[in-house]
Amino acid sequence: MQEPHDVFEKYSPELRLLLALEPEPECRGTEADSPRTGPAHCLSSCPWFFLPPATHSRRSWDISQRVGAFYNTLGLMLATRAFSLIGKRAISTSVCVRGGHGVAKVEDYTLPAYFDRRETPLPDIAYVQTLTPEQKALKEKEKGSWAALSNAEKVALYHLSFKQSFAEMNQGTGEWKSVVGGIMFFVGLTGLVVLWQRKYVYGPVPHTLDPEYKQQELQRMLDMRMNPVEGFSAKWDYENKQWKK
Amino acid sequence: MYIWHRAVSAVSSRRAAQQVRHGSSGQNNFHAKYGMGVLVSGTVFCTAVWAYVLTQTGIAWNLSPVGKVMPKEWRQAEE
Repeated sequence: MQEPHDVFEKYSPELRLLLALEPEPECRGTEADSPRTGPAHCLSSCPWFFLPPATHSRRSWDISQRVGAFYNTLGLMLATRAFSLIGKRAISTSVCVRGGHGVAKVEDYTLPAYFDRRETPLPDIAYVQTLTPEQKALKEKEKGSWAALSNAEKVALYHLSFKQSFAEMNQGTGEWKSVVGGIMFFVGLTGLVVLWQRKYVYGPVPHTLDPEYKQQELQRMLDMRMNPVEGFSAKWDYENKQWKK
Repeated sequence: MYIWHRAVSAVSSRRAAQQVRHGSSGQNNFHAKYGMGVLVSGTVFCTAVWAYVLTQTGIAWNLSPVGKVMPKEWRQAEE
């Protein structure tokens, strides 16, 4: 019978899974409802001093309320590593009025993004931002005992928070095959260039490279005893008139 | 020694029982599909072209005569 933990082999390190599924503790607020934000809700398990004073301990997955709270925490949240299950990416791009002044439109690239990287195992935001009703039901079930979750449900919860498992993100791509193949192809093209050069650029081969001429040249070099100690003539056996073995 | 063998066989059989059949889970990108083809065809093309260029085009390489060329008399009879 298959042991449960083997299903999660490729999702290790287990810390990512464990932290991602950790239920959010109650947040501590310091003030009553602020007229600016209305009934704001606690967004994450961040330390309370990172949160604006208007956040409260009641948790909610409601997106519109998170958006409202998000603008209040924009500057703080960008500097905060959030371990919450649902991120704080704003989906509204309208101007938010705060304290009588307008706030600049939030650009998409300024918001925390999701990355699957081994070096940063817990991305700033969760992968799935908007939950379907089935997914919301699963989230509710997650608040209970984890032992009641089946393996398939645990994997589904993982994929709400993360896109790839560690095994998937670490696997090689086989890109080296294309690279080396491309190298060989272009070196082959260079060979064709040399071929063209031989036909259209090089001049005729000098007569001094004819086979017969080279033979006579060899005899003359041996007659002159060129490099007789360790070099050329040293390799010729003058007694037997052959190359030394 | 016998006890060690027994323990080793027990561990390895348990590990085999835990193995899961995952199927093909490698990436299905360009490199997975065509990488080996590109590699093999590129290498074949390169070796074929350079083998022809080095041997059949008449380029003079002037390799060492040691062990290959036999000398031939060069002095011409004086006339």
